[in-house]
Amino acid sequence: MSVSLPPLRKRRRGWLDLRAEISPIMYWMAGLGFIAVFFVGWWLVTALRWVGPIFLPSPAAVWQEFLRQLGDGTLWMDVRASVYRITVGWLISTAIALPIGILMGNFRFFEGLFEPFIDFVRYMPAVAFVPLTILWAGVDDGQKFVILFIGTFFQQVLMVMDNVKTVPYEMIQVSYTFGLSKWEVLRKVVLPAAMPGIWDTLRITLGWAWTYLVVAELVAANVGLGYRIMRAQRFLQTDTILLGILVIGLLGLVTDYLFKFAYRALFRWMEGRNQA
Amino acid sequence: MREVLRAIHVWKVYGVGERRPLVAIRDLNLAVGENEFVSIIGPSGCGKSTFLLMAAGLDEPSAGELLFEGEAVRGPSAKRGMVFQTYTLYPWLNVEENIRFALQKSSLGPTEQKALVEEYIALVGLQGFERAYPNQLSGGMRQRVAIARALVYRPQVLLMDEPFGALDAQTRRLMQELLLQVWETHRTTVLFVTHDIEEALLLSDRVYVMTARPGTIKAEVVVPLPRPRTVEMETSPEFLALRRRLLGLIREEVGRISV
Repeated sequence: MSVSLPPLRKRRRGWLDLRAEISPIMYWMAGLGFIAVFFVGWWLVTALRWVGPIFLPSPAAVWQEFLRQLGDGTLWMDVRASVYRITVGWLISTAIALPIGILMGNFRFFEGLFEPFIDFVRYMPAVAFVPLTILWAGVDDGQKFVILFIGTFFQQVLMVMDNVKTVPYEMIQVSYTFGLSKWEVLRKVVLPAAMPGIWDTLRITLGWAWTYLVVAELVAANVGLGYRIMRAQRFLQTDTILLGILVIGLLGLVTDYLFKFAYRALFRWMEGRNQA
Repeated sequence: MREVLRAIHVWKVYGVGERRPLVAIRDLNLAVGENEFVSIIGPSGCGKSTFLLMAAGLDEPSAGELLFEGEAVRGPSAKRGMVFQTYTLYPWLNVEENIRFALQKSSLGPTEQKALVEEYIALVGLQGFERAYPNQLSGGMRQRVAIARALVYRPQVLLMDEPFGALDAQTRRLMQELLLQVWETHRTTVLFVTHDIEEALLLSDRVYVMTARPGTIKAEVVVPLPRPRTVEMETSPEFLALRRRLLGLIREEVGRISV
């Protein structure tokens, strides 16, 4: 049965009202538009010679450099090396941070055991470890993994602990009344409940790992995006530097969105009128 | 009447061994018989929720004994089900899966479990919402799921800690009627904690009134209203007389803490 409707009006609401919804098209156009403005600004600044090409190369020069590196295979080689290092380094960190963070979030003993030490190490700059890591792990990929680990692990483990602690205690208590043991509650209730938060932690820390990549490739590397940037610095090849930075930004953006889309697919149950 | 739950000189003291320990519950005695619906009412902070947690085995008395079926309560068990005020549904499981989760330790086969889950979904009036996730449900619907989940594995006693406390007045009414109806069909032992006098009278066979902290039993009121009960009974002279009595008892306690 269809209802006959009176003439309808759309709700009148300004697009800049507090928390007002805007159309998805407007949302995406704004974001893309801003990036476009950024590139046009860059082009203008260089085309009008406000800044010399040695300080800021033009978009065209960076594009040329991109084509050159694509042609001789340098770019592909660097991307492959860097992506491999970041993936392995981050995975090692994650593999250790997950169990320790989960223990810390669930048992006060493990929190007390590890937190003071982690808080202490967390403030040490990862960059300062570069000379030491070369002594410890040589100049191969192993050293890159160590730097990525130092930069990522200590933040990751604390964030995972906090994710676990957000699981409401009543949810744990009610699970005991179904006859579940402590370990069953941990596995079947606490972990799935903490999963969306942990997934976000993984996404955010992978972003941070990209920052440490350049640090890891600062010295003693002969391939990789960070290495390419550092080498170009010596010869003042600013177009190569900018290209490296842009590629890292782009790769970071892509992985971030992959994580976000996976989040939506994995945690469909999060959607609803009342976010728990 | 066979006795299911008994509290003998139960105390709860926080900060044992510290300079100024806080006495939350003081020498509390009560008993709940089989298939009896008993409520505990009292001012906020009187320790009624703490007592319920102890009855579930989720907390321990500092002194005294809590007996369940004649034996001391030692830790939580599937024999004592619990419904909390806050939402304790598993948000990653849909309605059906949430209810089925409680049957993990049951000896029933998968087909029997499925039938049982369906039966309880119908009992709380949630047909058509089997596949909905908790985040898609209203507060009242979520508590329906929580009640079905706490009943489906047939615990010998159901402990309810202000289960309708977070709901709006209208929904609360509906849920009270639903609980009455469920209890009439599936007689079971219920210990119900609330601070709502009408709610306690409408649902219970007996009501225990607690004092302000340190909480203990101040009075025991038998509710002789006939069953099956309906919300309309709330205007009967009998009900109103009981209400007045309970109100007086509670008012004394509230006055004691606010002064």
